[in-house]
Amino acid sequence: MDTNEAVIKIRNLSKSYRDFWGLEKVQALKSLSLDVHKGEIFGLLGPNGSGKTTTMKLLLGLLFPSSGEVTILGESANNVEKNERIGYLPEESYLYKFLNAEETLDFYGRLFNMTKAERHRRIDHYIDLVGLNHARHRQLKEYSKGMTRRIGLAQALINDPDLVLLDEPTTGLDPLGTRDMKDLILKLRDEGKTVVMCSHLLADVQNVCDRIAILYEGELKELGRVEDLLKEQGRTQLMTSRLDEAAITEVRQVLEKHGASVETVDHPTSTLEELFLKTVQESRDRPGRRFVPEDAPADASEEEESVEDVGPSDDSPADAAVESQAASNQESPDAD
Amino acid sequence: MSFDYEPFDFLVEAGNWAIRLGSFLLLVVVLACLLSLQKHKTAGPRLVFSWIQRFLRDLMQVSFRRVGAIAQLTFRESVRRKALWVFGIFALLFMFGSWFLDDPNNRVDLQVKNYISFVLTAITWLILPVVILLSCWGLPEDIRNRSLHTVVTKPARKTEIVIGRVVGFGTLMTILVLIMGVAGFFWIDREVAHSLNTFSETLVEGGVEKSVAMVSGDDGVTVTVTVDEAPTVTTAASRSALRQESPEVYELAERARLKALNRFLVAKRPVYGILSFKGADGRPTEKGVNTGDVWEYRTYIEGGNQWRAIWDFENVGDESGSDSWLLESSFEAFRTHKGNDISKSLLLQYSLTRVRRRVFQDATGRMISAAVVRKAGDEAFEAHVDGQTVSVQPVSVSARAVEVRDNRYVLVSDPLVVVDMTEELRVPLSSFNISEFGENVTALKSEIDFYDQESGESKKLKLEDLINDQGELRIEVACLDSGQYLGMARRDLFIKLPSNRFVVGYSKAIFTVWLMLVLVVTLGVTSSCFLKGPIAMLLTFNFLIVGQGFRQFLEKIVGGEVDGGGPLESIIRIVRQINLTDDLPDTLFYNAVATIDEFLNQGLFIVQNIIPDFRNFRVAPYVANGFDVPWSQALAPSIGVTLAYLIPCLIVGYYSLSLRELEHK
Repeated sequence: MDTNEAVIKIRNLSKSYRDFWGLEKVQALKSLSLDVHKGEIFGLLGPNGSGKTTTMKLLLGLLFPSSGEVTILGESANNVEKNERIGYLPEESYLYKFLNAEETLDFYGRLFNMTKAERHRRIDHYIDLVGLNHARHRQLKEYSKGMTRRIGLAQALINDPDLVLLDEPTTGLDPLGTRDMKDLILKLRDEGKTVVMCSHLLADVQNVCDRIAILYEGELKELGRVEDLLKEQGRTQLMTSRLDEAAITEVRQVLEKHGASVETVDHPTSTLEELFLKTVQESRDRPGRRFVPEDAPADASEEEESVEDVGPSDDSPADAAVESQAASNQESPDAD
Repeated sequence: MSFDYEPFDFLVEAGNWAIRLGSFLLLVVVLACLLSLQKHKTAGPRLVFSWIQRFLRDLMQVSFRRVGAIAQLTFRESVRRKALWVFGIFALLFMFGSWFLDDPNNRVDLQVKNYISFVLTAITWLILPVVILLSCWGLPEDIRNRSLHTVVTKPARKTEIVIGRVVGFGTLMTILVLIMGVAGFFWIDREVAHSLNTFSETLVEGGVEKSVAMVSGDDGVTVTVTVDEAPTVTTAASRSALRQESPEVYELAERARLKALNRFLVAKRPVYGILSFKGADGRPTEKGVNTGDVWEYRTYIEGGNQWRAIWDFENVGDESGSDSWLLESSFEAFRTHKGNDISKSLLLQYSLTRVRRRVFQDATGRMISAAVVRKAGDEAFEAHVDGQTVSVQPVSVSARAVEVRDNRYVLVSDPLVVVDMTEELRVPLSSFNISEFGENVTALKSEIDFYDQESGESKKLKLEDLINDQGELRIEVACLDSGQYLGMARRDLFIKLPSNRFVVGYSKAIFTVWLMLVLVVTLGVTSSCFLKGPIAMLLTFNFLIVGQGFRQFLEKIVGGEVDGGGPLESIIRIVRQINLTDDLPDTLFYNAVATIDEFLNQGLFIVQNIIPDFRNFRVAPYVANGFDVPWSQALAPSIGVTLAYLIPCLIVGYYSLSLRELEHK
């Protein structure tokens, strides 16, 4: 695999929106130049209105550039043939609400000229992949936002594309769905596909992207590998097993000998996402487990004998709320 | 029989269409090149041609599977938007329509006319709003909801989107038309049968002729069966009582009712001739007498003198071997006095004539007027032209090539050339009293007995002997009542071919309605490619209204037949209160106004050529009046108009979707 092969080439791309009289209203993109390489996950970052979605739509030919050039999979953005190898998940899932999941995927499969047998095979596969087997015959208008994102993703992948463009892929998904989406994006890369995603959820991008571009007011501000951009060259971080106060003092003395100083000493915390996923996993393994606050009336637990109480531990009250939410998600998988 | 008064030649029409469309496209391409030069400099024209190339490539690569997918999506969308609720309104109309249409005092044929007109109008105007709404709102809604983004980012071509949309809405509309058409047919059949309370028919059973007459009303049913002039009367309280009490009579009456029903529900196949007149002096004249009607649809011939209405039927030679022909006519009487008996209708006589029409031309092919030609021998003719005598040859011309001007038969192509007309044979038929408010049917047998006034003898003649070498037959109509007038129009007399069944004419009318709706769907989808829903709907509706109701007015304005000048001149006349018929002063200002109006008129000329002529789809009167829908006058033009708009609409739709930013609102 030639990872330096550019799947997307953008050169001096600018886009201005004009009013009725042809006067420039806003310049959404200013002379953007970048390449996306084959087999990488590329993130477009930026605050709202920075030009991420405009770039995406220029790549897809939904907007026409005011100046500059776009080449995607070696073709012009306006060339319809390129779409054979592209999958696109829009920011909102702009699907036909009156169709059900099967009909939706069948429709898009037919647009790719797939045979009936091939469509059936892929419909089963992708509905299973995005976890919508239980709702495959329900009209999309009855879907929750998360479910709509999932079917949107399935339609983007129905043609087994070489290049996947994902516009805010985790929007509307619960943490489990977000994790699944991120896993899927990584899996796509492992299969040799190129993924371009734009998002303003920085944690999502940091976890999955190989390279990122940061846009602000239509201009490219940063471009590079994630770890390179995040690495702080002038500082060093040590991570050890738990130390007592005496040991910490000794470490400080040693460091001072070498002209360095300890800035902070703390116990590392995991992320909320990690805690959430861990709690949900435990709930699945032990269905009766629940959190009971210390000051809860004694008879509350007696009434529900089958429930295994877990007293307050080191967990904060916020953890309890997250667990409660996770439990409710377990009961109603369709709800977000 | 394969003759038509105005045959519709698809090849010629297709050629005209191609020339017009080609000229229009050429103009658009030139304009596009000029505009692109301004924006993209020298690369502009190349860009324009690359877009043309792209369209052709997209057209060649249209995938039926993708078109089918988009069509199915469109169909599902329409159904789920409750488009089929229109059936509810349709059912309501049919359930209660007869309350308002039934009129026991009306003649059955007029009631039949009401039922058929009602059904065809109801089908057209119930489906029209539905298809206009759906076809005009579909794409703009998809663009607004951005659902189209997920389609255009797949390998779906813009041509496929436009075709798929048209096919999808067309399929829905076809289902609506089919179901309503079938329901309408059975409703008409039932209503007409219900209206048929009084009838009299002759049945032949086992070689025995039976005359069956039935009168039914609130006071019971009376059936009179007459065999060998011996009537048998059967009465019953109701038809069901008759069925129980006298099943044989009931069965006979039902068969007679069915026959009567077929007489009213029929698709007559007329063959029309070319109408001209002869005046009181026996010389040809363009029109008959105007008896005071503003509407000159019919003009009149005076009775008891040399006034004649003349119909020339073309290409009837092929059918001359038929056993008999039927001549059907319906003339309007205008009486200047009561006559001997006011209750007696006017007397009319047909004369069959074999005529020979010819013009003369010299050796160079130059046409010579028959007025200067004289016979030089048995077969030789000579003419004096510019003081010289030249020999000329006779050339036969058809009735179509001839018209009347200044009381002379002249060539349509060159009115200065007089047509030499010779009556070779004339056969006057027996006179008869006309039915002034109904049809007169006369049988022309293959062998005709007639009284030759010149020899004073009765003679026999074969019908084919009256047809000239060009297969033409002339029928002259005379009114024999002195001082009375008979009104004639071209369609008042025709040769009646064996009628088709009503279902044939009705199906053709439904097919024409379907064609019109296909055109509306195509226009709706096309306009929705570049306009938002409400505006697209307004545009399509305007096309329909102007193309149907104001087309003639538009033609008159473009043709300069409307007094008062163009729009600017009209405004000036209104403001300055200048009469329509007054000439405007010959000043620079008014000349400039006239020039601007002329320019605007050119714009109207383009509009006239863009708006489809929806009048071609107006076939309900044919069926309602018991006629088949003619191929040349109705069916072929409506097919032609619908086909003619498909390709231009596809081109407009394709470029509208391709050259706009779908995301940009």
